[in-house]
Amino acid sequence: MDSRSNAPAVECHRLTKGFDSSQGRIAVLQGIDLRVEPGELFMLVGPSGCGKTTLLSVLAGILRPDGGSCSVAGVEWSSLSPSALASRRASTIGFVFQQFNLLPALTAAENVAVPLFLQGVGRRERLRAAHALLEQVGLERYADARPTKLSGGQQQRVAIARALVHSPKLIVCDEPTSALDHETGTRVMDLLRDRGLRDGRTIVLVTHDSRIYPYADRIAFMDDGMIIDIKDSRNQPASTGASHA
Amino acid sequence: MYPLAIQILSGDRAKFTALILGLSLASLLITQQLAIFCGLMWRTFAFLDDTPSARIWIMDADAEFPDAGISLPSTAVNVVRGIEGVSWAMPLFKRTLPLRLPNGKSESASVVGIDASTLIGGPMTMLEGRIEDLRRPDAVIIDEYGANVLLALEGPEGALVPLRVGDVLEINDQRAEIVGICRLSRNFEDFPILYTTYERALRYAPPERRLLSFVIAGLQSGADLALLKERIAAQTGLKALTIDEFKVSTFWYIAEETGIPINFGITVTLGFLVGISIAAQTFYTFTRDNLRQFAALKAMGARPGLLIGVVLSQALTVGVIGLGLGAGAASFIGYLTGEGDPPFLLLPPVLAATSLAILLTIGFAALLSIIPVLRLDPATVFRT
Repeated sequence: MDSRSNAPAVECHRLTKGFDSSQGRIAVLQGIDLRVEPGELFMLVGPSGCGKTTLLSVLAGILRPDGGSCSVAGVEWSSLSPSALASRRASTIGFVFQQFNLLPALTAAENVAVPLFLQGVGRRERLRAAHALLEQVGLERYADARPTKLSGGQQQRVAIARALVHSPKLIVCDEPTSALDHETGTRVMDLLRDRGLRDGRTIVLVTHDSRIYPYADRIAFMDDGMIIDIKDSRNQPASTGASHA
Repeated sequence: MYPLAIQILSGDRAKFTALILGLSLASLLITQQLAIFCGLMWRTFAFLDDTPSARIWIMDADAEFPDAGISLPSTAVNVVRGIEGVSWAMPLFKRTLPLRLPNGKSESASVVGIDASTLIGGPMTMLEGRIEDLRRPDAVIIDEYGANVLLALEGPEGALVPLRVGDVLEINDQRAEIVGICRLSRNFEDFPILYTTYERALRYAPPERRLLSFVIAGLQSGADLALLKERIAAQTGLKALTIDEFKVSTFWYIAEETGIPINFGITVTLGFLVGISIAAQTFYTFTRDNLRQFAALKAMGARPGLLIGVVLSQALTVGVIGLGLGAGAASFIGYLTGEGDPPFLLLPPVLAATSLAILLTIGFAALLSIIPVLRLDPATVFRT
């Protein structure tokens, strides 16, 4: 049996990361230890500059840590070459960005199909998969629309479909609701929770938006490059306003 | 990859159009100026093209082009005829002489005197009259462009009246009657050309000790051309060139002694610089504007090779479209001007040179654009 099948979705030990500045090297992550289980929706929250986006970037394999280790689905990122890391990222991780980052020249379906394109899937097959995902997020009739013709909520739903289309093990979300009004944000979170966690998939989400905290299984509070507290809501009574609970 | 690159490229219609326009303009300018340069330089050896029967041209060692005006001793013809490997040798007179038209107006014309018995070196295409009519007294044959345009007379209402067969001119104050009209290539000097017999040409020319311009010769079958040229040079002290060598010599003489290549070179360089600046600037801006998209692709696992491929595909696409439109427009303008002015000669090397210029332009633009894409930190995609 593959030892990775029992591996945590994300596991970090003594993770450090810093950046050079005019005042010297600034430590942004200071010895993070973290374990996220498969099927979990894990939120990273905290004030601006506390390191949550940097931590998300390291978890997603976009930034390499200065020290410590980070593995996703049992694979240690630092053991991979840049090329292998890119391939692994393309197959293992789905991304949902704050500003959606849909390619404006492509249709909604073509945007959804981008991760499959990056994995070399043929056009017909990837568009078929993209249409299926758009149907799941309720945007089938917008398949041929360009992103500029869609509302913010619709664009984020397309982005969620894009994050799901290649069946990744981990979805990383950066402020997925901050560009949306509350009602649309709620719908997006409902969708994310409903579709994103299927098949043991894990979501790690960075947010400033306290209204979506009830969607989390666990919330890590960060400050000054460290996780100062983790709140587990899995065994707590349902919160109001969160449809999953 | 290619469809994705083209979709991103054509998605920004304003910049896509600006890129195509910039490259088309550069391509048009470069193609047209090079083609005009070729057309102009081609005219410098038009006379040689119109005298194809002369395989070998024998001239003074210092003569470099057909109108050099350095005469040879008249004995040169017989000396050349006696050289082994020469099948025939004929005298040829070519000089610019003063001309008076039927209306009394003074002009100049290039007078070509050819051997009366064989008429070798005469015009190849007669439109009116026969070349044999040159043997008639005072006979001259004029070229079509000279008769219709350069020497056309002014009619009563300002309309041009072409010279016709039967019109009488004066060359250097001596009678010359037009007995035929021939078709020749346009020449560089834009002089009318008058053919006559060699002996009559000597009569028209001011008296000088030497009046023979060239000896033109044919080659015996099986004779070694290189050896023959050496023999002619050794036995006459003159220079012998094949028709192609004489064309090359003429080309370089005109290129070196006139400012034509410099003028055209400046225009072509300007076209190239305009194209490269517009295209490189626009393409670079286009890529910069799409950096966030590239960052998203990079974050999602796109490898550098894919992103380079996208940029190169985009550059190549606008380059090919711009080249096609520009060169096509230049060809169309050339088609409209026909054989008139400015001379337009679209030779394969012109298209090759334009393609190279456009390739360099888009290569530079792509290189300029690839650098920020490769340096792009995908983590920027998480920053607003």
